[in-house]
Amino acid sequence: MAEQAPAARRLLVGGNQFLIGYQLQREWAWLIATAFFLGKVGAGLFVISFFADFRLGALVGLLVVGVGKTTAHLLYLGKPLRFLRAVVRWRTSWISRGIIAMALFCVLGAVYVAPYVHVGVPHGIAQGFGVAAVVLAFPVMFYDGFVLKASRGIPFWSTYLMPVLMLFYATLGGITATLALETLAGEVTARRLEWAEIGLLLANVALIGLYVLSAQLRGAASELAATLLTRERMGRVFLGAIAVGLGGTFVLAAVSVAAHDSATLAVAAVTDVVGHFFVFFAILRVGVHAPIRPLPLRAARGEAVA
Amino acid sequence: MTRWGMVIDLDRCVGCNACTVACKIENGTPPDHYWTRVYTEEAGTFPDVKTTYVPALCNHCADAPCVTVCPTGASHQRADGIVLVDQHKCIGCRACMMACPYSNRFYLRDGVLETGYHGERTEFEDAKWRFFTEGTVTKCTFCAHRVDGGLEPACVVTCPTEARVFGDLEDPESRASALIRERGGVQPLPEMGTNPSVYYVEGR
Repeated sequence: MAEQAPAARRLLVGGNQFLIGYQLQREWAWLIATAFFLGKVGAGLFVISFFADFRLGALVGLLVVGVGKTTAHLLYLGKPLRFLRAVVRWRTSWISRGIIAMALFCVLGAVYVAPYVHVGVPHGIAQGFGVAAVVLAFPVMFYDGFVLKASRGIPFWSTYLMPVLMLFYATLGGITATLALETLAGEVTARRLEWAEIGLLLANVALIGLYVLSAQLRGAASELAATLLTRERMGRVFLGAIAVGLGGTFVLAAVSVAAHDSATLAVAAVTDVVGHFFVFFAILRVGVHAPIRPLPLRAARGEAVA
Repeated sequence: MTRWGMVIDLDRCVGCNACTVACKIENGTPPDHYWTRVYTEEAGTFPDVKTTYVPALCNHCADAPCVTVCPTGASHQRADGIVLVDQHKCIGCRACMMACPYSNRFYLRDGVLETGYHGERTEFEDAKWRFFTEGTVTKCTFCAHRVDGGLEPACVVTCPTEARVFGDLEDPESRASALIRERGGVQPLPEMGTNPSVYYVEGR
């Protein structure tokens, strides 16, 4: 009987096995994935709602970032009471830059939505603060990508495609959330964004494909991570998230555009959000550290190496 | 300017893990934290099989990505190149663990310091563990407290085969520099661009 090729996950070693090999990162999981997700969707929702002049959306986006993302980060930190220290290294650290952008975004955004919650701020001033908040929302949308890019220990993440992917997903999430909220609130100012959503869905499919296919350019550890992502450990989660989040949402959004059906749009929002979360959760979970000495994947699999 | 570094001779290492134990005794690291350890690397197929023992520790990289990504300044580099973590500044975000290409950082989970290795904490554990804070990241210090006192790191002095050589990489006359020069020392994962201060030599 022919010997079965070892599964990719068998190439992984645990930290205390004292064996040279590929190591899966085990620190960043649910809470970090949640924080990244809420930051992208919240900031995206604020930006899209601002341009659609949909204050409820802006308010919700602000809360998602200010309360949701912040809470997820604080729950994750080992020493949450020291979180204020995290702003001091803005010259080199994307985490510092992101936190500063988040804090300023929340303050400026709060002034923008103040009239909506009956706090007396002149319209012109609120609008000015809104513009500034939108400018700061962009780094909130993509800084997590630079945090991952700076993670040199995980070659699969360490690419400039990551912030681009984050920005596109944030914009898509923002449009979806805006459309869903408008549907719930009975407003229609952003209906024209359905076409933009369809365009972004196609762009995200292309970007995700490019990201996974380019993994082998970033070395063996990245190649192994791509294998884990698409075939094994997280394969079902990732491919399911792509099918539901991008494929399913595309079909539902197309039906919604054709039929002007709000219920379909609401379902599309759910599929997009679920898919969005699990795509990045899976990408986080398959982060692989390279061995400290070169260990070609073929050699690790027991295959002959020329 | 001094730049402390280490050269590890893989031809000499016999995989006894005396360095691993010496590090644990010197630094009193908590359970499951091995600031230095000896990896076993197996190559080839039967009957041509070779086992190499590869001691590993923090490489105290000149371009340390862990220092760059740290949002608080807890991870910092001294003028002599030693990279340290200030336990009072670390917030436990673990970005440094993702940035380190060598998996040489360790997170102190909540509760790990509550009980000792064998149940109730010993006086030794009480004395050593006061330097650790749960919820923060730890790593090899190159035994900075010993180096500052003119001593070599514990893993170096305990090695029975003298596989580890500690010295100033900026000093061309140091034994470490000479070994790198004469035996073609290589840094781990040079493609990461971190310029580690730990070199390996092998193949006499």
